[in-house]
Amino acid sequence: MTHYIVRRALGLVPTFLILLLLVVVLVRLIPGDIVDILLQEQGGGGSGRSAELALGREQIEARLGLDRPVFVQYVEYAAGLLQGDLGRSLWDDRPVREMILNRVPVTAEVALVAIVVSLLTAIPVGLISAVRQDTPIDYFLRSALILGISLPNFAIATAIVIFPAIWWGWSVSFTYVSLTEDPIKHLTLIIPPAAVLGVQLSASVARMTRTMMLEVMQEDYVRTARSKGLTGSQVVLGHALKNALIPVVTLLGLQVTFLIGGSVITETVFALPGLGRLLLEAIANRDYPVIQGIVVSVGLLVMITNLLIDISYGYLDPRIRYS
Amino acid sequence: MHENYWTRRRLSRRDTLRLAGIGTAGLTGAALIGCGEDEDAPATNGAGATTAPGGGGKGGPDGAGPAGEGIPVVEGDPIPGGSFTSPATSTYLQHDPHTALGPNIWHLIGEKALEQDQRTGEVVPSLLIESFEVADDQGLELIFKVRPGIETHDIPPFSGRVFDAEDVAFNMMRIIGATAEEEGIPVASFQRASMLEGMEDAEAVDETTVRMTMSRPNSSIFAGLTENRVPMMPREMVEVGFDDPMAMGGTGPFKMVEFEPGVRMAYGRFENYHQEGNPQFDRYVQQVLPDRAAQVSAFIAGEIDSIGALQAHELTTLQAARPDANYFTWVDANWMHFRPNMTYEPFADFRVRKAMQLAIDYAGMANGYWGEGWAYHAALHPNYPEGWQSDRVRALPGYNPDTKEQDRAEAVKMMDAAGFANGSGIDFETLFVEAIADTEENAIRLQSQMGEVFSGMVVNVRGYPDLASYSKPQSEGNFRGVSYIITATPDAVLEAISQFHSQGSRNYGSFNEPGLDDILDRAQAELDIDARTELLDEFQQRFMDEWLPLIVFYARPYRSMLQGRIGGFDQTAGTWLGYSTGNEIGQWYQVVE
Repeated sequence: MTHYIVRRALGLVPTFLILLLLVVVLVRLIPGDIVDILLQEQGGGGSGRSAELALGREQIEARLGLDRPVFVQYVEYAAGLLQGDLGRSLWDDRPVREMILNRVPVTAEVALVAIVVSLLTAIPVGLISAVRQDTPIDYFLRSALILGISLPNFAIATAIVIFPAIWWGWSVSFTYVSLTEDPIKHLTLIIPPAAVLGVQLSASVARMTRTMMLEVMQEDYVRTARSKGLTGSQVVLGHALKNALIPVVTLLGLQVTFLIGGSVITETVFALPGLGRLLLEAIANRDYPVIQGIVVSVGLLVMITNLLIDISYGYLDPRIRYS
Repeated sequence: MHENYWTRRRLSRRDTLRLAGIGTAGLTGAALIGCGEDEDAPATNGAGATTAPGGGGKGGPDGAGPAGEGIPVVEGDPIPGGSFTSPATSTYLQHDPHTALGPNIWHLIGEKALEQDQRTGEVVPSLLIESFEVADDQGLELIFKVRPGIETHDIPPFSGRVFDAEDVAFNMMRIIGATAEEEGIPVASFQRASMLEGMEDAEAVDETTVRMTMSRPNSSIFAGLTENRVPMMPREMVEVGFDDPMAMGGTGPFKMVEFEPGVRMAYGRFENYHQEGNPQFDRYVQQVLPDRAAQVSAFIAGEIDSIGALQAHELTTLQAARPDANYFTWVDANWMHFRPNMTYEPFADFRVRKAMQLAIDYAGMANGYWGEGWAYHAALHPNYPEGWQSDRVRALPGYNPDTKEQDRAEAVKMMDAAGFANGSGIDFETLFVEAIADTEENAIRLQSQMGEVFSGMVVNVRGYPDLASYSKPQSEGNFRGVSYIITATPDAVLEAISQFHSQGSRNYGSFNEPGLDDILDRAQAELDIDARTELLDEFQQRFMDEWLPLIVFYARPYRSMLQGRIGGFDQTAGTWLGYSTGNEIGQWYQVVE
């Protein structure tokens, strides 16, 4: 087992380096850069004559280190990463690591609550739908799940924000307070975006649970359990469910990227200071080190999550052994 | 004091306003008459400013000052204290007042050397400078008198000391980048150096007197000091540095009390503020709400006190949900345009540009997107005292909706004479920024209108998702046409040089006309108000008849709402609205409902 984990972890290194290369190169392929924004603003403020602007481009590029070849920038960035240095923001010179660490707790909290919300609803819904296959309740739940998958995050989030205000003059709060400052208010801020993310996640998980339950229920060991005289709930909960959950766990792992992607929208709509919004702002400002830092961190998180999922298979199904 | 451009200009404007009752308010009203009115909109007064039921009424406390004719004021007695919250899309990234690119905390914790009257555009003594004058006939020596006894914020190292002439002189030198090398900052970062073009030196003569020496006269220099990004700070700030907003202080009405990146920026009342009675609010908060729907929702729920840049559909929603809120609208400093690139051969021919100018239906374009409230705009923004006003522009060929068919027939003939019958042989793409909705609307309407008039012309549109991606082709001149927005600078000559002069920083279309350069250079050096105005009048006439470096669509309206309990908005409902809005909040107040 230990050998397997070490081998898998080492396998992540080339993947990570390729990710790093892609991020550094791709970010610079986005049309327009920070120098264009700076010069646009300088010209835009009525700086009468243009002579100084040409000089300005060179000076700004040199100051920001953007005048060097991309490969050199890549090597320097990779070397910095080895020392835990993610670089500094091109705009306000703050350390990117500090910026990310400040924003991670909010995103992690929202993601965690979204996962809890989705699991609490998805597994019972998937289970009931499977057990009551082809009954009206199954049809109803399946329709609801399709709706949940079809509705985009931004539409649900905007509806939650705008309609209560128009109809009842009430709105979710947007005044962020930290958990330590006011835990109750903090939760009221976290739950709406988590619910928005949870809706889609829970619909996917519930559909997967239903499908796997239907498959598992046809297995010989389930028939054997029934023939032993166990009750329906003992069969479902004691024998079928655990085995049906293995692909569900895989799905949850894959949904980490979905949660991070979804956080860009939900954190913006609900004005939460999380990683998603930091990424959005950094892209708009072409703040390369911040974009790179976030993408690399999220990429690393996804790799580690997938490793943990692989490892968890052994615990969920004792028949699986690693060599 | 010698009588010259600046001194005469001040008297002239005041007298004009007093006697004729015109100025921006009246001019904006004229614009509205020209545009027609929307029956569904609230009642509109002569200033183009409106108040919803529940708003309107008498003036505020001394700090608010008298409202101009037609400018709305909020009814009710002022209540000192309380908090005012406005939305922001993000917390500020840059905190150096002289190198920051956008709005920054200095609009609240600092003050500018001079101010512009929000309604007339007149340069007036500010809270820091109580008087200014030209000390010689050539305009090469200017004297500023600093208001005595102004205290800095009680933050080390200045710790409440008196802000003096040495501070003002230091700031003036820093604005032009004179300290760049010493501070290790690229001189190009001091982006507002051109506001003080021609300045050689600034020195403190005594505690309250600053002498500015010029290498040549510059009639724009006082207006330049009113620009939003040239505030004054205690000179020790360069030692403090500009990384930590909580360590910064100035002389403004508010002190920084909270700066949480991505969440909010909060300011507390400066108890020793030199303007007695102000600020009336104890606390001002800029709450980060990046999403527009969230801003609308928060305003309805009363979580924020103001919301600006309203679109028509938002206005309908807000007025229905919050009938007690005050609604204001006026023509602001933003103008929309089509800029042709002269390196594209057909556009180098004046007749082609003029034919397009004659063919465009400006009222159709602006009404289609904005409805009422915009203004006609030719070479210079109508809010400049020297700019042709909306009603005058409306009467010009091309702009005049009553002669549109006739003008379009003339346009076809002119295009034909230029060798492009029905526009055949002309093929261009108009670039726009998707994030700025009306640049897209205007590009598409231009495409449609050109198709109606010139059947052989090929017009395409291309959107860029954000400013960064759009800026590249524009700044490199890699385009045939752009549909874009400009926020006017505080002075007509500065604006015209920046946009149309062959050396202008925003002359993206490579327009080069020695006659235009000459007239603007002379206007900048001209110290006589009448002669300067005459030069600008000639410039505007020739702009339309001979040059047409770009085609202005219209000057944009601004629409804003305030909760019913907030007073004092009349302070900014006028000519210019920009980053100084924050500064004005120092003079706002709550009212008894």
